Amino acid sequence: MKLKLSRRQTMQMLTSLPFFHFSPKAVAFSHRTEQSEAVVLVTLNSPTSQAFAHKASSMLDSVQLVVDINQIDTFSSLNSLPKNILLIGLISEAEKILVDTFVQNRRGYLKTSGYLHEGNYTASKLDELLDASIQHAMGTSKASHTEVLGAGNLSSFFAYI
Amino acid sequence: MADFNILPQGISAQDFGNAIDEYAAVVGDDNVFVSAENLASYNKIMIPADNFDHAPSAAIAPASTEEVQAIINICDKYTIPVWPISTGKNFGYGSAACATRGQIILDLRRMNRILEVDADLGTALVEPGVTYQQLKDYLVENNIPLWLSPPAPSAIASPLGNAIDRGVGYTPYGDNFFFSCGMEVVLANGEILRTGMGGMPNSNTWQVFKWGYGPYLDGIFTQSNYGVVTKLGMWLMPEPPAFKPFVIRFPNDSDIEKAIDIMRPLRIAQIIPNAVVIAHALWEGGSEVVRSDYYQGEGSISDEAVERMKADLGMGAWNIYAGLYGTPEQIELNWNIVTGAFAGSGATIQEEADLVGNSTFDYRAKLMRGDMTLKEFGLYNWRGGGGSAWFAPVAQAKGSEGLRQMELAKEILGRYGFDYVAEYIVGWREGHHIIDLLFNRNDPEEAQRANQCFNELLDEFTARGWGSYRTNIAFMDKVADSFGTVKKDVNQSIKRALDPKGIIAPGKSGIYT
Repeated sequence: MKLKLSRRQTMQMLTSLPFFHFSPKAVAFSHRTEQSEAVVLVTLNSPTSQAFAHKASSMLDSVQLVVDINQIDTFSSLNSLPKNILLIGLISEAEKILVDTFVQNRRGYLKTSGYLHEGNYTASKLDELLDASIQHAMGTSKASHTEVLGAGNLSSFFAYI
Repeated sequence: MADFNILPQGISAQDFGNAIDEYAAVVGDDNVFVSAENLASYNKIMIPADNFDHAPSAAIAPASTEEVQAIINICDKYTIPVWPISTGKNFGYGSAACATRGQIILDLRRMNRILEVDADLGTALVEPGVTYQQLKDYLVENNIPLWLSPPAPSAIASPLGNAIDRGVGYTPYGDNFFFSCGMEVVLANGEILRTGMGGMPNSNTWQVFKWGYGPYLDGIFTQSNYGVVTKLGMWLMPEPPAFKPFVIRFPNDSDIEKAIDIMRPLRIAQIIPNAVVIAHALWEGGSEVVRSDYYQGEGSISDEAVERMKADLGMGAWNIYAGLYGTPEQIELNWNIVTGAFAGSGATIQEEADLVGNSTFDYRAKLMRGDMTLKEFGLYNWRGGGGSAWFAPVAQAKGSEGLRQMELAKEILGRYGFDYVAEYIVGWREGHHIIDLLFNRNDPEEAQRANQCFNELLDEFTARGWGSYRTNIAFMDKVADSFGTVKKDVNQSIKRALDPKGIIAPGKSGIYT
């Protein structure tokens, strides 16, 4: 499900949805289990980002939030998300900086898990980025507390609100 | 005792632990942050500098002036340095990070009350955590026909923070400090100073008369560390009956000379009253497309690639964004003057009707009428990698000066393999020459090169007498030095008088006790 909502609509929508869980259901958030099980996929309306979202949504019960620097309300929605939400996505640098800003305002944190060039991806590369995001989010990756070096105009990330 | 990752310089873990307990007694445990995870966001910087040098020891988030006073008193007791931020969105200048390692961040985001808006006088009184979006929403919800003048990050930035860092917006009220009126400041001794007319009990002219009586003090609390500004008065522009945005495009880089010389008298005479932007093609394109679509070679982008991008996007080498404000009759009259001034210059003039659906024009028009937009963040997609440092020398509003600065900046940036992503913001008699040094911060070699490039830009511009109006936290000492020893000594003397222990933001603008 893709979301393009106003700030007011977002809260209404999210509180009315059945909540989202990692799937397979056996996957838990290790020490974060109690903190968050809700997942929002943050994407661009671009082919690569959407391919990432498609792959992610096949693994995770989630909703999708499409962000765009030309539409300010797509970011404002992040102000209205309930607490204890996990965000995962593959977006450009500009959008990532803005998502990070909204996450910081909620006293959350965002970490980059990898990089990729738009239009230059393979299914295995998307798998790799998605896996890295999930592993980092679960705190099972040694790199989970450091920013990742690399190149590409899209960044995969995870964030907690 | 908590296990601290970083301690303020010269403070023992025992003392810091005691201080943290005392801060928590003031603001509550939930508003004191010491863990690496919670402090990470205060150490995210885009500039070419080492995060290590700008890492905080803690962050404290008060909710009132009284809590700020109490925190300052604790800092004074233990001699702990404290770095105030409003919303911490000073991207490309250091974001929320402190100038020197180990300071505690005084995060004023929770102080987010709009204390007063006077619709008749066009004034507002706000706290540091108020954002432009919040103030805009308030005006709209209360049907108050007043405009804001936000900088490009608009929605998420703080009017107070922008004004006291002497940032700019794009309406006729574009010089945000110039259009401020009255401050409340918590001094290092814990006292509260209200500037201008604000010190007088029962005064109702705090937000309408800047100068008060005796020395005018507001200026010393901007770009400084002499106190913590906890309230700011603002003048807001009445919505005009009509507004006409337009763009004037010149085809060649060297046309900056004509662009500034034709614009200057129109600005000084207030025919064009707003803070005009003369945006270079790479700023225009940089917020719209990505570099790798046009150029994948070594070094700075080729002229041929820039020409292709200009053709694709229908833009000039220089693009002047300006607006006319007033009644339709006034605008018609001034439009004739503007078009007459540019006739025969080789420029192309486009109005709103010529550019329906043009997202770049739309965002510029929004900024010129004080609306919220995040479009300019697109610049960070140009090169990718999250590196950005604003180089911001001031130029006389003379074409010859604009041309010389452009040529020097392009030459230096080119030698280091970076692009000239720049604009001039034309005030009345000067231009802020704003250059975004964009680089891949994930590449250590490139980040090091960006640091060296920024150093050389400062050296070469300083050698020619061109000073910066603002700089990032890693270069504040260097820029302070460029303004001479007497200025630096006076700054230090004021600091010693107002903050003898040097607890407020040591290193801000190169000022120490």
